[in-house]
Amino acid sequence: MVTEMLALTVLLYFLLFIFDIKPLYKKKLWADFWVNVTLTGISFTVAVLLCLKVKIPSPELPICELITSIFGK
Amino acid sequence: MKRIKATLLTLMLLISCIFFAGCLNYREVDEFSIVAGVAVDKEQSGQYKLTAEVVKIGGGKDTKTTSELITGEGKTMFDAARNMISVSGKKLYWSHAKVLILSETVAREGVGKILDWYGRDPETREETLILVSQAETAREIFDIPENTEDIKSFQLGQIITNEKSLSKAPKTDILQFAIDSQSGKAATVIPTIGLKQAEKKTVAQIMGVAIIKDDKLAGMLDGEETKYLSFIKDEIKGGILTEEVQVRGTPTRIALEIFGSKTKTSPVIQGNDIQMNIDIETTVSIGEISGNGNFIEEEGRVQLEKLAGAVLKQRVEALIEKIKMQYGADIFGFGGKLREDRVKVWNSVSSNWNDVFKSLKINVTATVHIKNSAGYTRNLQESESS
Amino acid sequence: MRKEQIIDKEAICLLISFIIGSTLIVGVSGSSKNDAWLSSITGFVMAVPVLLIYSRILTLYPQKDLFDILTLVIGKIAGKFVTVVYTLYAFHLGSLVLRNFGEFMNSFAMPETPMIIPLVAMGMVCIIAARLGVEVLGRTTTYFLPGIFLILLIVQLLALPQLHINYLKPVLGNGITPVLKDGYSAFAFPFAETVVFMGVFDALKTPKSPKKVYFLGVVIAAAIITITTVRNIAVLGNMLGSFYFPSYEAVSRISIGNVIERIEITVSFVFVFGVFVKTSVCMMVAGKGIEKLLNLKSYRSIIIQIGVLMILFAQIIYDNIMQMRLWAFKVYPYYAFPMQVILPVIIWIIAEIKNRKIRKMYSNADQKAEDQQ
Repeated sequence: MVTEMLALTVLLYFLLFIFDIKPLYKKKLWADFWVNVTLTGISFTVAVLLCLKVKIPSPELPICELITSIFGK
Repeated sequence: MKRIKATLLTLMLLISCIFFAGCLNYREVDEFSIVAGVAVDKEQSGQYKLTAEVVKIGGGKDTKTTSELITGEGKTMFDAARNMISVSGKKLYWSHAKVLILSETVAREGVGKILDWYGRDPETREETLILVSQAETAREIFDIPENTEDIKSFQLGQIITNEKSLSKAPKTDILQFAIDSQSGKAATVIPTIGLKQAEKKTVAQIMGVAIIKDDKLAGMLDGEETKYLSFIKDEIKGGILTEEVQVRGTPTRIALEIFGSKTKTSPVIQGNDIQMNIDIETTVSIGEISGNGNFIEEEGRVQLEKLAGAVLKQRVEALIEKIKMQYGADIFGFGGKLREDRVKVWNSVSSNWNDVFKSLKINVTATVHIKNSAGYTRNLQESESS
Repeated sequence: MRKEQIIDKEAICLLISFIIGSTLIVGVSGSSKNDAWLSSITGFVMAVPVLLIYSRILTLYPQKDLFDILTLVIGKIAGKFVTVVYTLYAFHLGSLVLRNFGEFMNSFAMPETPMIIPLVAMGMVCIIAARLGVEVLGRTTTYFLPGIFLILLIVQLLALPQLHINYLKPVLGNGITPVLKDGYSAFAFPFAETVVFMGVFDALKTPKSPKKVYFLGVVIAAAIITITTVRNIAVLGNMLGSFYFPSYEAVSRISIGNVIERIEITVSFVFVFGVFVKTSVCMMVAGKGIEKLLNLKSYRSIIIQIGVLMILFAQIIYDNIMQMRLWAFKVYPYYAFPMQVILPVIIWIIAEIKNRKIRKMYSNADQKAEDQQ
C-alpha cells in the first residue's frame, strides 16, 4: 500500500511540476517561480511523510495548550 | 511541446479513470443482511445475546420475503452484534431495523447501557421503537410460529403505529427515551409486548407499559392504566371509554369513542407548597349503547357527560395514587413541567424530587363533551313511543 | 489585466454561504442547552460593532484589499508582519473547515474510507474555484444559493410535525452566563470569521456598499442559523449537546407517511456547498496574502500549492474528532480574538486618524487656494 501511495504521490507532483511550475519558469516570473518551488517542496515533504505513515505533530497543539492553560477548558 | 502536453493530459485522464472510478468501499445488496428487528437477552454467564430478525429475499417466480433469526453473543451489545457475522457470513445492515425488544431481565438491570450503542452508531437509526418483553425471553417474540408471511418486526412496528387509535401503548423510540430519561428526575415508560394464546396459535400483543425508574425496570402497567397515563401526558389520539350506567335497575354499558383530548397540566405554587392542576377536556362520541336508557336526549346526555367526566377523574386519580404509592416514580413528567414553567421552584426541589413527588397534591378536573352519537339518532333498544 | 468585480448581490450571497456553511452542521456550542438559539442571536449582536469596523475600514479605502490597507495604514514593515498573521489565519481557517467536512464524511457517510479522500476531492474543487477567482465564485454562489434556501425551507417545513415547542422552555433556565459564553463562541465562529472577506472585498463594484453587504449578509445568515437552531432544539430537546452533528440527527427524524424520510442527505448538500465557498474564500485570501507579501505577479501561480498544503494540513491538524470539538468551541474563540477584534480595531483607529489628517490637509490646501485667489 505504501509503495502505491508513494508512486501516486510522486506522479501527481510530477504532473504538478509540469503544469504548474514549468509555465512560470517559461514566463520568467522568478518570484512566483521560487515561492511556488518552496511551497511545493514543503507540501511534497509532508505528503511523502504522510505516505510513510510518519506521525507529524499538529502545529495546533502548542496554541491549544497555551490557551487552555490561560483560560481553562 | 504541444504533443508532449497532450500525451501527458491523456495520461492524466487515464490515471483518473483507473484510480478514481468506482467506489472505494462499495457494498452490494447481496453482501449484507438487512436487520428488521432485534431482541436483547442476557445469558446466565453475563453475556448479551442478540437475536436479529433478518430479511430473507427468496428467489423464484413470485419473490417472497421471509425472515430468519441470527443469534450472536458478546460482552457488549456491539460485540454481540458483530459476532453475528460469524454466523451469517454477511455484515448486518442496521438502518432498517424497526423494533428493539428488551427482555425483562435486561430491563431490570438497566436500559440506558443497552441503548447506548444503538443511539451512538451512525448506521442504526434513532427512530427504532423500543419494547419490553413480558415473555420470559425477548427472543420468544420472534420465535412464535409463522401466522402471516410478513416479517414480524415490521408487523410489530405497524401495530405500534396503528395503536394510536387505541391509546393503550405509547410510541417510544430511542431518541424519545434518551430525551425523557435525561429531563430532570423523570421516570420513563416503554411499551410492553406479551404473548397471547388465540385460537391454538400464539400471537404477540403490544399493550401496557413498563415503568423505567432510575434506568431500571420498576414495574408494569396494563393497557387500561396506560390509557389514563396517556390522558395525563396529553398523548391521547383515540381510544374507547367504557361507562356503566344503571337504568331502571339493570346496567347499561356505553362505549364512548375518543375523538380528541386536551390536557393542561399547570403547577400552582403557594409559598412552599407545590400543587399540580390537571385539566382534561375530552371530546367523544357515543359509539355503542348496549342496554336501555335514553342518552341521546339532552337530559340523559348531560348526565352521561357528567358521569363520564367523574369516572375519568376517578380513574386518573387512582392511577396517580397507585404510581405514587407503589413506585414513587414520576412517569407523568410533572417534574419536567415544573422545570419548564417555574424553573426557580424546580431548582430548589429538584434534588429530592422523588420525595416531593410522593407528597405532591394533584387536583384533577375532567370534562367530557359528547359531540355526536355516530350514525343512529336514538337508542334502538328503547321503543320510540316511550 | 482587468480587475475582478463582484456586485453587491454576489457579495451578499458569498457572505451568507460562508457563514452558514459549517455552522449549520456543527451547530452552536452546546453548553447553553435549550437556550442555544438565544446564544446565536447574542453572537450576532456581539458581532455588530465588529462588522461596523470592518465595513468602515473598507469604506475608507475603496477598491483596496486588506493587505493593501495594512501597508497603507501601518507602514511597510509592520504591515508585512500583520499580513503574515492574516495569511496564516486564513490558511488555518480553511484547513479547519476542510477538516470539519472530512470528519463529517468520516463519521457518517463513509466511515471506512480514509479521510484524505474526501479532503482531496473537496480540496480540488476549491483549488479550481480559487484559481478562477472571486468573480466566478460569486456568480456560482448566486446561482446555487436559491436552491440552498429552497432546501432549507422545505426541510424546515417537513420538520414541523417533529417539533416539540415545550423543549424550548424554560427560557434562560440556567441563567444568562452560559448564553453569553456560547454567544461569544458563536461570535467567533462563524460571525466574526467574516474578517477574511476583507481580503476579497476590494472587488466590490460600488465603493460605498461594504456596510450594506456586511449587514444584509450577516443578518440573513444569522436568521437562518437561529431558525435552524430552534428546530434542532425542538426536535432533539436535551440531547442537542450530545451530538456532533445536531442538524443531521434532527433532519434524520423527519418521516412523513413513510415516504418522505431519510432526507438527511439534504443537510450534507447544504454543508458541502458551504464548505466549498468557505474553503475557496480562505484559499484565495491566503494566496493573496502571499502575493502581496512577496510581491508576486498573481496569487494564481501559487494557489495550487496553497490548496495542496491546506489539504495536508487538514489531515494532520487533529488526531480525532474530540480534539476538533474542543478546538472549535473552547479554544478557537480565544485564538481568533486578535485577528477578529484587536487588529481590526487598531487598524481602524489609525486609519481614521490618518484619514482625518489627510482631509485636514486637503481642506487646508483648499483654504490656501481660496485665500490666494
